[in-house]
Amino acid sequence: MIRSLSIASLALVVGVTAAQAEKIVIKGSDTLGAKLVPQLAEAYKAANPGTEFSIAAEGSTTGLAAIIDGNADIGMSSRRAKPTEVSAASAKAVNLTPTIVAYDGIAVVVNEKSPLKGLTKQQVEKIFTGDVNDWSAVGGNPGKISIYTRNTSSGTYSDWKELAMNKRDYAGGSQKLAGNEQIVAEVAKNPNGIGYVGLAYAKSAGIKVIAIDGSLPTADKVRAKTYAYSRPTFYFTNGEPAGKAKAFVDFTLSAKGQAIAEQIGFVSLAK
Amino acid sequence: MLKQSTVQLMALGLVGSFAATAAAQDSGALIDALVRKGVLKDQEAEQIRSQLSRDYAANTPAGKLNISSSVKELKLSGDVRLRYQYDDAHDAGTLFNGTGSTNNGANQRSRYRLRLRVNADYKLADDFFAGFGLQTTQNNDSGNQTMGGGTAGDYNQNYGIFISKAFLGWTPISGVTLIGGKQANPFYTTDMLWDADISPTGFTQRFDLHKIFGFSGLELSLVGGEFVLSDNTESGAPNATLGHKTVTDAFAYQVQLIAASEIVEGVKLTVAPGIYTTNTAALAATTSDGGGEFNSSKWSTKLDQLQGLKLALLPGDVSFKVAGKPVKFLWDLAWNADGKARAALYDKDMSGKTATVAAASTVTVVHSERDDWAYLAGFQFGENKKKGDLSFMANYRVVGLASVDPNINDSDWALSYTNMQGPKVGFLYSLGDATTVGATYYSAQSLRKDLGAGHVSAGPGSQRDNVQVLQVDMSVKF
Repeated sequence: MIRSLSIASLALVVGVTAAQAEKIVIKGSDTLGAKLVPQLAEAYKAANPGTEFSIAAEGSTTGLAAIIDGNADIGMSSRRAKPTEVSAASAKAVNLTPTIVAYDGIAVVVNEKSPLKGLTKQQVEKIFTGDVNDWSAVGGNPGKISIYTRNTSSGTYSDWKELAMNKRDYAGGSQKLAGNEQIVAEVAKNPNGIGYVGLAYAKSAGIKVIAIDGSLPTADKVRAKTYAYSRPTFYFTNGEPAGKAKAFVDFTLSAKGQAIAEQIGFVSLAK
Repeated sequence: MLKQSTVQLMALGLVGSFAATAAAQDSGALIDALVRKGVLKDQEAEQIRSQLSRDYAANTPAGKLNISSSVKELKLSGDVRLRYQYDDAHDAGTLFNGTGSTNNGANQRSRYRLRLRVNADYKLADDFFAGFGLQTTQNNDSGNQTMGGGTAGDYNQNYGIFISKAFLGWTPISGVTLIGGKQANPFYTTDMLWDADISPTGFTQRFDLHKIFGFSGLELSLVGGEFVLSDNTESGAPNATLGHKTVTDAFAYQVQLIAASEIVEGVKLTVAPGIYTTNTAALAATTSDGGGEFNSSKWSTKLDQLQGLKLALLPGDVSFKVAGKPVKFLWDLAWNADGKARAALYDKDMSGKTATVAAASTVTVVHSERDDWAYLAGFQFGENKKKGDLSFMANYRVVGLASVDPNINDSDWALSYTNMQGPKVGFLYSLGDATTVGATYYSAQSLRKDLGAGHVSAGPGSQRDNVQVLQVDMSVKF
């Protein structure tokens, strides 16, 4: 009897442990974590019953920090790791290893009522740095430009400075928002608004994407990097992905995972 | 056909041969070119970038710094300044109402000075931050060391280093910032009220209401500060003369609402109404300048009490650009609602009694309402951000006897004395992106002439008839 109980208890403990082992903790980028990764997780769970996910999308900086601190299995990031992050990781014997998940184009969006159809890269830089503050200076209707940006935890915030602003500071009056969806919502409300969002958010109501140097962020142009603001998006792991993290990374890179990425608005790795 | 790993290895070698380790971060263009040529796939390129970053971290001085992973960002900054300063301060003499004799004693002094400041600012995990500053003197309102200012025989002396800032802060939610310790002045202000060199000690709270509530078009911030001026022994004897029943620590308090908005295209208006006051605790006696936040050398022995400071404040500015250069018209205004009590601290006879002055002449000295007011108006043109930049500033201020706290006002203009009026003008030219030269001239004349030097003794009042100060600076930021 006692032996049977012991075996049952052991089985219970093993079962609980096994269930806990299947929880995958993912932290980081809002660009990846708001839509793509939750949908990938749902599809993965359907194929792998019993797997649980904890997903926190609070910006790429938090994803990289989570890998450095050992608080996550996968760190989502829409930017590369900064030297200071690599240095901090090395100090803790953490090997920040990137895996490209999908490509993204950062779309410049304005209110759908704006007559503007396109901007040059130079005009974009002037707008976001505050050198130009009225739409009439770039071919729009007269009106003060309202700039909406991501907050400083965001990889897109950093990427945008590098890709579009020649590493200059944002205009003093720009408003920092927590996520792509908030930017879309504000630009949709404000006829004088301008912002930038990942491609997955560029088809929202009330906004329109404008061409940059004559190019719209189509999948082909993003993949070929001929669209000015193209970028890869990443999973970061401590060393090469292993175990449960590897399984999910592999699923993301599989044909099914890439199809989900395409469906949401990202550009898949290969055509 | 070459194996993929061989291609990667060759690419890494190629990149490495072109990019010194210290410049690994700049190898991106070469890697991008290899991707475009089809030599590398994107994922392979990322692995090479990652390896180069690790090499950079491991093989460069920056990479060898073992910084706690809780530190998200560390900013090191500082500056060295060389200064020539000439002071020409004339004593008030016996009387200035023309009824007494005149004794215009003069105090001229030229000094060659230097200042070093080093700051470290840390951004930490979980929205905390911290920092510290080091500088060359203990003085609360100046980091200057005077060359040759040591004791006799101690030529070419070395200088001490003191902690000028040490603080920690937290941003629990966007728009809310809480800081404790010795910190940068959090208020919108001018040097009429606060000397720019003072780092107040205590606790501050800032609420950026436009961020918290998400409105636009108006930046609205509420800032509060509670500063510890003097730690008193609570079991000590209370000052019966001042009516104290218990002994408490001495505190100063300031609260301010800062509102800024673009009133017309390209023109920004900022106004910051507020109050500054203190409790009535005694200040611990300090015998020399630099004894802490409180600077006793600017007070008479009668002024070691924090009484009579209930200031209403209204600084502000209008800023815009002319020919791409920033222009700012600014003002400051302070009114001491408890000015009469304050004036009485300088001498009880300020209540209207006839006073005997040093030359045995007598004069009736009465508190005047203008003793309670201080105001400043001026402008700034240009900024110094890169080589060749030139900026100018000028302002004029009138500072009544009992209007502001001489412990914290600008220690250069009128050498902190109140009951003075006059201009401050200056320019700054950028010799390089981080190197500037400039000059500032301060001039102040006594405001009320009916206060005798013997009447208001060694306090910050009308001991001086006029004070001229010239400063010529060269500084380098790093």
